[in-house]
Amino acid sequence: MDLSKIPNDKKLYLCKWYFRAGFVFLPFLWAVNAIWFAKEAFIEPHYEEQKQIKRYVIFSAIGASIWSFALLAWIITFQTQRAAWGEFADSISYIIPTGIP
Amino acid sequence: MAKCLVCGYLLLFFVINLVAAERIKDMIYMNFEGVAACFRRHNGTHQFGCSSSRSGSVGVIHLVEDEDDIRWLEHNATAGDYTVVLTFSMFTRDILLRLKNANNINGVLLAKNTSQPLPEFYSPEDTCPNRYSGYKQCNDDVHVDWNPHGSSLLMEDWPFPMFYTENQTLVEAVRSCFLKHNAHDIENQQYRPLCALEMKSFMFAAINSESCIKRSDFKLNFNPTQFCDPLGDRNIYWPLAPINQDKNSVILVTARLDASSLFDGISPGAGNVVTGLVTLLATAYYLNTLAKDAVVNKTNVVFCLLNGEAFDYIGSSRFIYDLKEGNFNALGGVNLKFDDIKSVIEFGQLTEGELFLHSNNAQNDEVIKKIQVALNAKILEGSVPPTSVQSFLEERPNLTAVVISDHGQQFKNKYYNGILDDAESLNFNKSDGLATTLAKIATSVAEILYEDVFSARPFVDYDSSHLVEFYVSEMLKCYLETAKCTLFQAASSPNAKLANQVLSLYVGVHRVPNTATTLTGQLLAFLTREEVSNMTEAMCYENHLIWMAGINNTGLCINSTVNYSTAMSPAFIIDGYDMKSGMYSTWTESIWQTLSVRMFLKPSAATERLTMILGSSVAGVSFILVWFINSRADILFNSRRTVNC
Repeated sequence: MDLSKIPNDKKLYLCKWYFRAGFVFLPFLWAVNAIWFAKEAFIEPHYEEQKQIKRYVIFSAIGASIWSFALLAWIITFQTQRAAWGEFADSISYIIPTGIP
Repeated sequence: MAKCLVCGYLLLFFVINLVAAERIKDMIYMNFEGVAACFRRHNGTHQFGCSSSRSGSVGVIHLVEDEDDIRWLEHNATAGDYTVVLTFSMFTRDILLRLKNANNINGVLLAKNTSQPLPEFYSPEDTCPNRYSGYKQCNDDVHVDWNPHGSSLLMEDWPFPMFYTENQTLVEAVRSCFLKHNAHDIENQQYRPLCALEMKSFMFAAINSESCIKRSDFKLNFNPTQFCDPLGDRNIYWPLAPINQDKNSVILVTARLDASSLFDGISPGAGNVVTGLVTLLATAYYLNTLAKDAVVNKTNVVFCLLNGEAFDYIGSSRFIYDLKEGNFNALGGVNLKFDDIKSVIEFGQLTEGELFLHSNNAQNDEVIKKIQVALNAKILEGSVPPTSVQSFLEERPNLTAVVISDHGQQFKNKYYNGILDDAESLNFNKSDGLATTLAKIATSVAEILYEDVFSARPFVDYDSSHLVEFYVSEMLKCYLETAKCTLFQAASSPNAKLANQVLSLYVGVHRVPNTATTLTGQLLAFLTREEVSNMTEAMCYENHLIWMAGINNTGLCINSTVNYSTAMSPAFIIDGYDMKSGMYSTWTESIWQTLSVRMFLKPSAATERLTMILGSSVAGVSFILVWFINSRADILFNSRRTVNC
């Protein structure tokens, strides 16, 4: 969808709903929201809904980055410590790699 | 018209050429057929054996003939990872441990050179087999080296794959490829294409039996991967007479049924297992002929062949566990109890020469005294060799038990549990002495058992004792030369296809029935048969009897009391068993997908780099080109008519 072709109130509506939906453990939606509407929020000339859009974009970006930090931390911890945790790590794994501890 | 025909032929020619062309894969690689792989096994605490990397381990071939070559590999090798090709003289613990620590070894190919004499000794087993299980374990204070030549190669986790081949064409191919491409100007070998081997033997299991069994049982995944299987198979039993419902007194005659080795599919166990096993079968046969019409009153004899004994006594420990739990009813559905066992006589490793009786609590046992006199054997009181009898004595230290063997405190067998423990090492082809010796032991023991059971001297005629020797030598042929032999054929169903090779006596995993066990069970049934005459094949099956080919391949209906029981360690059936407790065997074998070796010419590192750089550049340039064309598309393709949207 080309954002330049839709009316401003519709943009706000979209941005708001992307932000809200992100709360259902969908950090990727926040990331999309932040990138997609970044131009609208910061570069486009002023219009009425821009302030609100800016707010949603910033919060989406913050949310997405918190999520990615948390995920990254967990992935690093799990990948490096999986073998050491032994049976517990197996019990929280869906796919267990073959041939290695 | 003629032109058309020519064209047609030409087309046909091209099509055939296209279809029948040698595939590029086959032009690059030479596949090795008939190689045996070292694989991975686990016990409750450790990991043993070998595994390649997931996609196969590749190494430049290096032929190792002496210690200098090893030193060169450790200090001067430059071409990255190597695959070492060894003969038996270099396949020792020291050398392999040096290779393990060298960190640039990606595989070992053990090549048997048939022109060279056999090595003096080669046993990959521990110096004290089954060190941590049984009655008299090898602790530091009781230091017994039963197997003085043992190198414990089986008890090590190797970081590289290992394969074995005795195919001389392959060995020659490897050698000539090495000499042609690798051997000359060896200091600068990294600058040219080198002959290399790729070994694929990736093992799925890891850590220890406990974790790989748990991982195999993992139910959350819809498509669970199997990681490992418990070792095990079946024990075979044959009672001389039916077991009583209530009170029994049983002399147990046992032998083991399995050997092991480092490589898949080759466990001949000639000196280790076959001699004792054949003697037991001959004893059962002879006792059955002697006792044809006699009635057992007080003592009974049960012959049993125990499986998986090389792996912490799987068969015997399960047998005893079943007896104790009251679950043992393989003999006519009657529950036999451990208390019913009066004594245990085990046939150990037997060869020509002096015999020994490793006896326990046997001072007052008439049978054992008589055996000692008949075989002119030396008694070793209180000595317990690492074999099935350990399990029985562990359960009851005051049980009367004896192991008849050819060794004293140290094995005479120089190839114990190795791939060389075969007919050649027994000198089987050159002399009939072995068959005579084993037949003599079998007849003596059978006659003594007869006396004890029936309280009368047996009627011995020359013919039947002579027949024992015939059967012994035939059985030795079956186990040592090829399974496609008279007796196995006679004991199978008519026209059964038997493999023309030496049977592997490795116990294997419990969910795959072992051919050696099946054939041995049938052979025991054949030797101790009660023939049912006037039966056709269909009638025979209808009456739940066994239809066998018989010696003349004419078909034979027999009634037999031979039966099997499961030989899987109790560790895998007891709920919540602690795998680290060391009480029962916990051996498992890893699952694998492929075992293969292939040889190819590996380009030098510089060429590999060039290929990589070229490939990446082409990819990069094409990206730029496509982007460029895309951005100027309207100029290039003059597409003014496109609709604006």
